[in-house]
Amino acid sequence: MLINYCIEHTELINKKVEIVNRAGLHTRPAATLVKLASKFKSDFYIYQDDMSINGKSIIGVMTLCAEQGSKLTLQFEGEDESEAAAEIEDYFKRGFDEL
Amino acid sequence: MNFNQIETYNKNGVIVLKGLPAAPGYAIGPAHIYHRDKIETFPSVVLDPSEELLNLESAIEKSKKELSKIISISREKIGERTAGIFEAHALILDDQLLFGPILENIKNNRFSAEYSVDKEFSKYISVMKQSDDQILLERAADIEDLKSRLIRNLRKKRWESRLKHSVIIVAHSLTPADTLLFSRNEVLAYVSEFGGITSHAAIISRALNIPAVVGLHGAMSKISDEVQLIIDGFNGFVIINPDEVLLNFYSKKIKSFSRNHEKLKEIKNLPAETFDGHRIRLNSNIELVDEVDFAIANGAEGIGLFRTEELFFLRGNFPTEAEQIETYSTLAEKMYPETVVIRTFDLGGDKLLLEDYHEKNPFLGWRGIRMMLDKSHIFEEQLQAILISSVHKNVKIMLPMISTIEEIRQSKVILEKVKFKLQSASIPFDKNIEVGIMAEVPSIAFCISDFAKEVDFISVGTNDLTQYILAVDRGNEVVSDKFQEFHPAVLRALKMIIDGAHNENLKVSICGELASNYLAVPLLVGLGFDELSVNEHYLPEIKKLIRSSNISELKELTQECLLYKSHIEIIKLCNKYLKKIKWEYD
Repeated sequence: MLINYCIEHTELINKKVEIVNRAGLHTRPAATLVKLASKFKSDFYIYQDDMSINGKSIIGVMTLCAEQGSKLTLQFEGEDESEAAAEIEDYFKRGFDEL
Repeated sequence: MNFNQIETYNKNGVIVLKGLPAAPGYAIGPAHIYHRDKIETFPSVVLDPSEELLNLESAIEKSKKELSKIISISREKIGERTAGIFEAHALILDDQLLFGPILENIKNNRFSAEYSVDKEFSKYISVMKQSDDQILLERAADIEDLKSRLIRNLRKKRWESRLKHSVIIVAHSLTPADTLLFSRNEVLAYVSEFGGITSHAAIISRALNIPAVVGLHGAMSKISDEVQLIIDGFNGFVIINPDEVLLNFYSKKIKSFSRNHEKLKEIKNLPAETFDGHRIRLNSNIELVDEVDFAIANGAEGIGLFRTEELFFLRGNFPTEAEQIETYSTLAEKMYPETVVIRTFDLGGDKLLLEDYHEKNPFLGWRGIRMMLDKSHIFEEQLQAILISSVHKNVKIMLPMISTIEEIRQSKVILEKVKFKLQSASIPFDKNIEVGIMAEVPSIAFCISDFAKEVDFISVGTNDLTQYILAVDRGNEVVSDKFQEFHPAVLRALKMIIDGAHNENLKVSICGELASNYLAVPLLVGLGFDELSVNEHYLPEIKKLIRSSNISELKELTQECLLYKSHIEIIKLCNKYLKKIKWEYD
């Protein structure tokens, strides 16, 4: 897929994550995720299949249908990209604190 | 005049509609038609874009204020989870990426704010609507709701939910947000065209103690604004333009209802005991933790059925273990030292299904325990949450839709596994927690002595038992008159279950709707049920009825009815009995 090709051939930080909590990326974690991402200056995009959304937009995140087991790619670009990537990846790994 | 005559009443231009009784109570008052108007916008150009930007800003502020009100009401009355949904709405109003293009469209293209808002919001709504995922579809409805709110405020329309006088709200459908907002005003009752007894709006109106009739298709075209209505939330009647006869009948009912309610409170702490000393335990069926207080106030001795599906419906998904522990523990603590029977998830059948899953015969399909045994991780989590909340030894587990012995055994294996896990982690729980089953599939009645040996208690669900014995779907209007709860076969099946369970020294309870039917109570007591579990609103009257009876007479009545061949004869005799004992205050 073209998008996957692009993701792999740019100088950004890409993180592959899986949704581990049972309820998936529902409204509450979506809100927390956006708040978290907004703390950073870097751009933050979420890729799912052939769709990409801006991770700093709550309405965007709400259009994702990310259930338990869904695989997403997180993309960060900007001056504080490594901090942003670390913190947000950790939030996914913690199952949005619902484990 | 009696309730049976009302359905076919057609004198003096009176129109009687029948819907689903979603929340009990009576009301008489003017209709208030509530349109959540379909908002249409046009690409009109404005003269002064900067003024339009200010309009948008103030509409956003106004919408935020409305939402914060809704958030605080729902936090106070419903719970943290519902509040969370509205908090996300408020957050959307701060979404820079959403509003960026809207502002651009106003500034650069001079389009009106309402058109720009509509256009941008609709993009997201249509993406969500393309999915066939139930959660995304519901989310689309939420965003639609938010869009309407914003556009309404742009048009500086008055907040429709701020009503001047006491009215009966008639709507196509009611969102939880509508129901909550209306509840702050003088709302006498709700009527909606759509929604079932388990819809959010129905659950909320029961919790708020406001009568409601739902599922009344075509109501909006038959009812006009300000017309007088009678709402009967017990029987599901909505009467348009009632005449003197009906107004008198219901005014009396309302008066005696509130008067009796006062009088009935006096018997709150007395036992449900017949004149000749036969004691019945009266429990309550509940769906929301908040209902416990009502149940206790109405004299419930325990919770005979806590329907955990509501956790699923309110959330649109299975609740987390932490949420379940919180709910079950609160329930157990509120009822302590009395007992709480928690029924494991009973989904499927007529209740919302998981995923995009359809069956030809849902009532004969994947529902209740069948689904849970296949989704054993969810079942384990629920059992674990129930066990953790059982520390005070006042919690029991009930399994729904059991039809075979293996289902009980498999469930118990899973329960033992969870117990072992908790024990290894030194988490305290009631090691002797009782496990019972719902008797709602006829196989239980035939093999009751086998089933009774495997469990600690039996609770009969008459709605499903009746539908399975008679092969009648009561939701199907074509055959619903064949749904005869007083059918001799139903009566005899109840007797088989009770006698068989008593032989094994088990207590038998009934938690079906039949237990809330005054006509059936004498029979149920006469048949030998040890416990009746009913909606909390019916508790005082049922207790009064039992306290006005003699067990010897009830047994006689039951013996007689067991000989009858038709449900008509049974109903007749029960009616005669109720008239004789004069148990009502009227």
